Amino acid sequence: MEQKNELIVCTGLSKTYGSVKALDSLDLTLGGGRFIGLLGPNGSGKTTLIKLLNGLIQPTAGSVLVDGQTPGVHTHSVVSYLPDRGYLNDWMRVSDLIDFFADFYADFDRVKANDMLKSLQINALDRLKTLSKGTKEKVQLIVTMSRKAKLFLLDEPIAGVDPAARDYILNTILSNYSEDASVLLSTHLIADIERVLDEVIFLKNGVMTLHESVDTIREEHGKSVDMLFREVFAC
Amino acid sequence: MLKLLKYEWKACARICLPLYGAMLLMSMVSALMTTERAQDFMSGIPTAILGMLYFAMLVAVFVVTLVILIQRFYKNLLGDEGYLMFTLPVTVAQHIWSKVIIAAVICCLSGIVAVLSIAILGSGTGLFTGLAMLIGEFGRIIVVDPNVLGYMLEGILLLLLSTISGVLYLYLCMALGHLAKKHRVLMSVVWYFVLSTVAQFVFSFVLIGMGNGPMEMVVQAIGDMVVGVPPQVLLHGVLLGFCVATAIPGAICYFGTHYILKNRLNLE
Repeated sequence: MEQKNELIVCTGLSKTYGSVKALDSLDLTLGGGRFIGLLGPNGSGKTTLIKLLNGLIQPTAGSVLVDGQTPGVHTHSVVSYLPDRGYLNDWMRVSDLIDFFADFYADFDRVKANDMLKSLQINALDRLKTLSKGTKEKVQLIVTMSRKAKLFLLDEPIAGVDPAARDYILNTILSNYSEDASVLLSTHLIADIERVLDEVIFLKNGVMTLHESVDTIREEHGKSVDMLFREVFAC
Repeated sequence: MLKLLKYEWKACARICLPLYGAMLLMSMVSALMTTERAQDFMSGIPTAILGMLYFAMLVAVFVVTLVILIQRFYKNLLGDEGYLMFTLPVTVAQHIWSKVIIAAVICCLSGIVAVLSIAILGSGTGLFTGLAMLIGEFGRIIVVDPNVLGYMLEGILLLLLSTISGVLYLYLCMALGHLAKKHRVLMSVVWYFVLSTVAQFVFSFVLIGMGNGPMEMVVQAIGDMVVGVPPQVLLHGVLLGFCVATAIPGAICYFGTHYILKNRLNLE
């Protein structure tokens, strides 16, 4: 049952915005139980790929399958997505947001969410509007990671929070996904996450230039992912 | 779907309900101030000011209703909140319907509140007894001719359908505006005027066409058909015909909006 392990299958996946090719015929297969880093400079197509996986945009050409289906109601129920921006509205309290997630996602773990709120000292009765930018990001990350999803799509999850919280968040991510779940995390802060990665994908101008396991990189190239990244994307 | 309706209602009710409460309270105070003794007080200046405030409030109810209707769709689905909404395990159709249903509900509520507040305002002038008489008279007519009840229900249906069609029309304009790369709000407004003009053209075309050309024969044929049909049935037919005529553009708007949100979505 090799088939079952294919969480993401992209074939010839392309997306153009007007005349700009954001993603150029990408072929990619990702399995379960992996922690994958999606790395590349700004504008290399990381967010585009993640949006395609979420069905937030439709491919110009090619196809994308998540858990065997095109993005839709089913994939949304098994994918936990953290966008690269704030989606919080201004009228809910943190506790309302927890209720909201618990209402819509069957795999949402309310206890876990409340525990995390407590450890990060966020008051559940605070209004979302009054939270600082960093706290908002933390709240979004908490609700994202409180699900028992098959796939976590995290778009720049650690860019906006302070280094101390960053460690906590990374540990949260690590300790919160089950064995057969995968995490696809886009970032350009490689050094921070290198120790936890299983695989890396390098994107450059919408083209995948590398997809390898971290161990292979260390063995074959004899260098860390961070060093390789700086080399590949040297300006 | 029920959950979507629940949160949509919560989001709207938190603004609407206090406003309705204030509106009704205002009309009660105004009603008290229109008594003769109150009008004599300070040469009636407070009464006049209150009257103006009341009118402003009435306008506010309608403006706020419209703003909520637009904002709930634009911010919640096409703004940053769309990142959350469109990754929920629900279909695009469910999103649109939950918005339309709640929008129709708050439109109806606003209308009812407005009527109610006017009724309160006029309560001193024997309006209620008049109203009671009217309703009593109505009841008698319905007993005599049950068709009247049918007309009324058809009328309500027509009102409801035109509200829904109107809301869907606004949604379509926003969805079309969203297709632009920038100035999306401006483009929504532009689309609103463009589509309104086109609709007017089509409408007047149909009207002109009825007088001559191929449409004339159709009209003639219908005219021949209805000869001998009792007027009650004819009125039912006309009302239901209007209902269908209102539902068609609504359906077009719905499918247009659905297509754009499903296939052409591109959140900023």
